[in-house]
Amino acid sequence: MWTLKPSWLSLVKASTLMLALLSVSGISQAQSESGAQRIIALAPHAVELVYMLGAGDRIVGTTEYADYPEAAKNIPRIGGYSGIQIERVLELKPDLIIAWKGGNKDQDIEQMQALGLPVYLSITKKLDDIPKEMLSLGNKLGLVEKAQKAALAFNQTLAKLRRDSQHKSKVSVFYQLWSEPLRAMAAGSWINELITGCGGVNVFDDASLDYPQVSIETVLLAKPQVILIPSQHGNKIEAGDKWAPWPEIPAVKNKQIHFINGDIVHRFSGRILQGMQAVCDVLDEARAIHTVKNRSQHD
Amino acid sequence: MIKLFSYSLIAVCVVVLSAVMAVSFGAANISSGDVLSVIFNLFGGETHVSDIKQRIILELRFPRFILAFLTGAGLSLAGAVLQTVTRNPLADPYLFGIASGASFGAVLVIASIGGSAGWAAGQMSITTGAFIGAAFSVFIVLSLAGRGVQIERMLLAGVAASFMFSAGTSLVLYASDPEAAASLLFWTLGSFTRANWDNLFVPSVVIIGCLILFLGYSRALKAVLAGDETAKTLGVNVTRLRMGMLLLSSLLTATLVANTGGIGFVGLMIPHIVRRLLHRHQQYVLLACVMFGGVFMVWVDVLARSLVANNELPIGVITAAIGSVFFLFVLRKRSWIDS
Repeated sequence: MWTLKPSWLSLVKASTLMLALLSVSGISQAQSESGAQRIIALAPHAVELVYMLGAGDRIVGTTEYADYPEAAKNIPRIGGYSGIQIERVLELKPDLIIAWKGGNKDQDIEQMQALGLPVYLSITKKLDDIPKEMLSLGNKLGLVEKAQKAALAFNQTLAKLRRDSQHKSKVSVFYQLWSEPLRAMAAGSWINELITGCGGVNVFDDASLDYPQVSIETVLLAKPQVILIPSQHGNKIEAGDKWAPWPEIPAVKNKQIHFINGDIVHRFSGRILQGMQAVCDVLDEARAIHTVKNRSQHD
Repeated sequence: MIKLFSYSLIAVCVVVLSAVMAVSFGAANISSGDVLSVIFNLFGGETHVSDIKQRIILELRFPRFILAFLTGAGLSLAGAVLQTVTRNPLADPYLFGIASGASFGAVLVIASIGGSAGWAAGQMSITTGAFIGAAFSVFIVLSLAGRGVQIERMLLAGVAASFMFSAGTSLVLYASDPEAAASLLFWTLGSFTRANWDNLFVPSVVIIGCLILFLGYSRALKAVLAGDETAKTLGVNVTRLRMGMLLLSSLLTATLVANTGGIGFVGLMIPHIVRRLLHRHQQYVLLACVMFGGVFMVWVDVLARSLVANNELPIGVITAAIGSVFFLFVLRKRSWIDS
């Protein structure tokens, strides 16, 4: 694994080696203060998780859009959607790089690995992956105890949210990921998990693609009781307007088009539970309207 | 004469049949009978079709059918005229950087609005942006075409303008966030999803107007096909005719691109196929292009809507994929001699 490297890499290599040895020998909590000290977090959710573990001040570099918490905005930027500046990464001499599988370019990740940099891959596909991620980051940062607490709290809140919605009536939801082209989310996404966790049913959960492009017609036929629209990077999306001419959709008729904070629900950080709470609240509201209607019809 | 009449009858039947069948394709379960019933209902008949189906047919599918037909017809028409006035079989509506100019205009507008955030609100300005971009590109090409509008210079200027605008588009795409980039990519691949009765007016007027003008000048166009000198001896002002036809084709293309995005290959392919089919009746090329191009695009749109369940494919991808294969097949069938 450790091949010969140019001398200017020696420092990086040395720290990496130390870290690798430490993690192999199974660091105890007492030793843990010697966890990674110069972190590069290449995704907004990674930055949030590190801050949550109380090690935000150890982050020396990150990517665009890492805007939470407030202090994260002052971290030097070393890349964005279009790629990572590997030279800056080397310059910063990190002892831990948290890369995002699926978010960062595979090419960049491979190059950093080939350079022998200490890359940790954040792979989160499901809600249950987040507490696992907290634990492994806690391990890397030498903050195991804190991570265990956070993971436990996350699991408890998640379980409570799921339990509360378990026996409620189902609400059909159209998640309008993008408005132009009109895109939904299929099953298998974490958004689907948020919706089903809150007792909702994603109307496009049987689509063959992960992010199917749908049309007004398909949404009309699906008759969702709620339309959820994420807003991102502070841009309030006015995409709800396009539904106004279609009161045939229950969500339009009952004014159940809701905006949720995309920065929260699209990130695999601890805050996603706030997002889930918001989704659950929205579904509860729709449920209440529905029950009232049913009752009045009954009378 | 009887032959011509029967051909036109067949053409009209194909268009009407395509309309009824294409409109009955889609996510909602609507039969051709439902479509006919709704049409008759418009003229005072009775219908058993549910309200929601009626609205789907009248407000979603019909405008889309018409936009698809207009786009296919208009692009084919522009292609046929451009191939004639430049006497270049490779000429097509996108040759003069019109599409890349339009894309650049649209991309700039979308990027300045901020992602797909303002799409709903900014629909009109995107169309305007695309149109200004296309017009700017045509202006560059024509101003470089030299005195007497030299064909070679114009074609090369078109290629250069096309690359210039593509570079600008790529730069904006590169700098924008993934959501905006996805929207832009979608836009450049072409789509009829935004069709509604309100935005059909301008393209219809432009296409019908251009068709009438093209037909009016069809004798002069035929003369140009025989060579500039011949045309001049026949009393045709070649430079002015060429300039006029170019501007009309640009107007046609820019209007369509602004409303539907980049749909390539149709304008190149359809006129060639039509010319081969028509054989000795070349005087009907323009009308046949309208019919053939329109019907072709309508069926491409049906494929785009139905190939993958719960999903729509970009139109440009399908036109290029089907079109190129079909075109190769036609080319192979008989050795190609420019008819």
